[in-house]
Amino acid sequence: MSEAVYPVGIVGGGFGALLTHTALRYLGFESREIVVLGDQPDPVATYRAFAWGLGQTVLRSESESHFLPADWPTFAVMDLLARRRLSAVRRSISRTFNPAVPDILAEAHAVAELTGYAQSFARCRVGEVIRGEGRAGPHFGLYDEEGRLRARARHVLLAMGHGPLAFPGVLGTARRDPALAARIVQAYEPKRYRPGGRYVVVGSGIAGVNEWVNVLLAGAECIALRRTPEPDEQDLNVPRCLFEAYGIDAYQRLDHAQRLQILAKVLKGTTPERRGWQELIAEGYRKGTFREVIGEITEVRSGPEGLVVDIRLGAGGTTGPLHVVGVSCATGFDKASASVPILRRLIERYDPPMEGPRIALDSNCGVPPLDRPDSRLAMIGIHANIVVPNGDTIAGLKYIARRFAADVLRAEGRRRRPFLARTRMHFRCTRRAVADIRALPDTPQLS
Amino acid sequence: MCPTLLGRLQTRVVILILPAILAALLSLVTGNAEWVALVGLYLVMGAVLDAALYAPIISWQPPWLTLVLGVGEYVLLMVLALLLGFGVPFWAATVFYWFVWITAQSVRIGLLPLLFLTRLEDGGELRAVRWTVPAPLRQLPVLATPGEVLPDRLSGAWARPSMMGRVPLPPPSEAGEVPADIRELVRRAEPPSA
Repeated sequence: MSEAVYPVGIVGGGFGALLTHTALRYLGFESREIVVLGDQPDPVATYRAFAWGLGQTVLRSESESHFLPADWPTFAVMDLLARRRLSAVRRSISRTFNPAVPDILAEAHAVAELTGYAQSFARCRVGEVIRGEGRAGPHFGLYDEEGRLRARARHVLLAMGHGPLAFPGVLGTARRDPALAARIVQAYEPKRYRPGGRYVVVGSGIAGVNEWVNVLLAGAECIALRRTPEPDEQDLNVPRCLFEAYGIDAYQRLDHAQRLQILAKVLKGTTPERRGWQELIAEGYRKGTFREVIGEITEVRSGPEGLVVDIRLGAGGTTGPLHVVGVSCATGFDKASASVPILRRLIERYDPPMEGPRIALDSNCGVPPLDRPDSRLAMIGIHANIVVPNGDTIAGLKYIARRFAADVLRAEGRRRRPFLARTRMHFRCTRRAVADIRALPDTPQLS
Repeated sequence: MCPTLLGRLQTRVVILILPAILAALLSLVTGNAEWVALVGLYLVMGAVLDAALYAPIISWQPPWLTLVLGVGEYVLLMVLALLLGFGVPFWAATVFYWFVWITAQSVRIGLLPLLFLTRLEDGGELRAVRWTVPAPLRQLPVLATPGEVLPDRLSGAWARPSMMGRVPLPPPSEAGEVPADIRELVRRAEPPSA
């Protein structure tokens, strides 16, 4: 790649990259001024794989959580425009509308196409980010896994997404055993439950409940293993007001240790109340095909049905050996910074301040000591929720992406794209998204 | 949305600009200044409600509540107009109110997000696109120099006789203390105890 220094580089090729690219384009940058280095040219590919693995059909995000440059129209309004019906708007007013996954992906594709995401994208797995100075001024060198320089950029946003999938306790060890690995799956991985089989689903979050339902729908038996005694019914990942200035301002007054305490509390498993799911689970309970226990798996070994597991119950005692076909872990992702290779190398090279296993980012999501106003290095996504509590939701990604883009615009001394030009860009994306959504089949709502 | 008081006030003023212009035109055409006065009364009444009622008791405002508040404000405005002796017929005032309300809400929902990119994220406040950053650290006004000595007041006996026999003050440590507003947010997220 040439010696030229891009104004902005984005490391990663998922939702965070797309939203940041969109914000940069909307505010005034051209596609040729932005380089996106990721291993997937399609910005929705990773999410689509996870959604497919979960069997997820709708998002629990509110209708504002979309990819258009500005916050209106919402998915409910686009549904009205595309399908000529009021039901989604009515649901949105009463806060029971869940945007459909196909609609979201269609909108993301429309925005990516019309903002020139593909022109900015280069396929590359970035392995290391190194601060550079010299004639080119302050910038970052972006190196691939083989150590080759792939691009230089004055401002860099790290948007690598989640760390590796987490397998708690003995399941992590068992997963590394070739004889058992195929029977211990993650909720986000592709998988199939067989009729008549018996499965343990670990985890009490929405992904866990989703897997209970998937097991029951397959005609199998489900042992739900809940690790927290009482899930709440908060419909979003964090209390609603933590999504906005009111909450984020208050959150930022805390020190990092306090923020982690809050995250540990509010990011515990949540189970939205959904009529269809609850009926299915209740029916499973009546028929004896569904039981829920609170505890931890203490032993996993091969058995005649596939696996034999033992569960230590929270109330004391154990279940005794349970013969199951497999274990599905709805236990999320490893949130430690060092679990992501590029961050591990960054920690080794620059020794940034840490809070527990995570890099203690500055209040503007900057990575100390490398971040500076004239050459920003910032982070987005789950690794930034130490600053923005909902950092890994679409709304949180947008919060960070827009502010990072505005910082870069100011640092580069650029003017904002004129109002009419950016409004035209916005409505071109909207028009295309509506047309694409119109061509999609309708997705049933959950409640 | 969880609007702040500033967000409520800024939004109310901005979304009533277009209706106020239309009301002024209507007043000019009809020669009746009460139309524009009605918008002014609506603005003042709304600002008082925002400051005295809505901001203290409503933290998260779902869309349906906006509609309910609109109905409440309609009733209140009609009563106020009656008490203040406005001469606009009731039916005309009703049509006018809902025209103003729908126009204002259309501006809020459709136009403000284009003008102020992060308004929804910023509690309704019309901020520039910026981070929330804690106040920067400031240098201390005085710093110790080598050879600094304590004044008599501080270098005397530590145990003060006047404090003897009294209940000791609470310990100073508030390590891990979480501010009340954050505790309140977390409390709301918790399920009601059985």
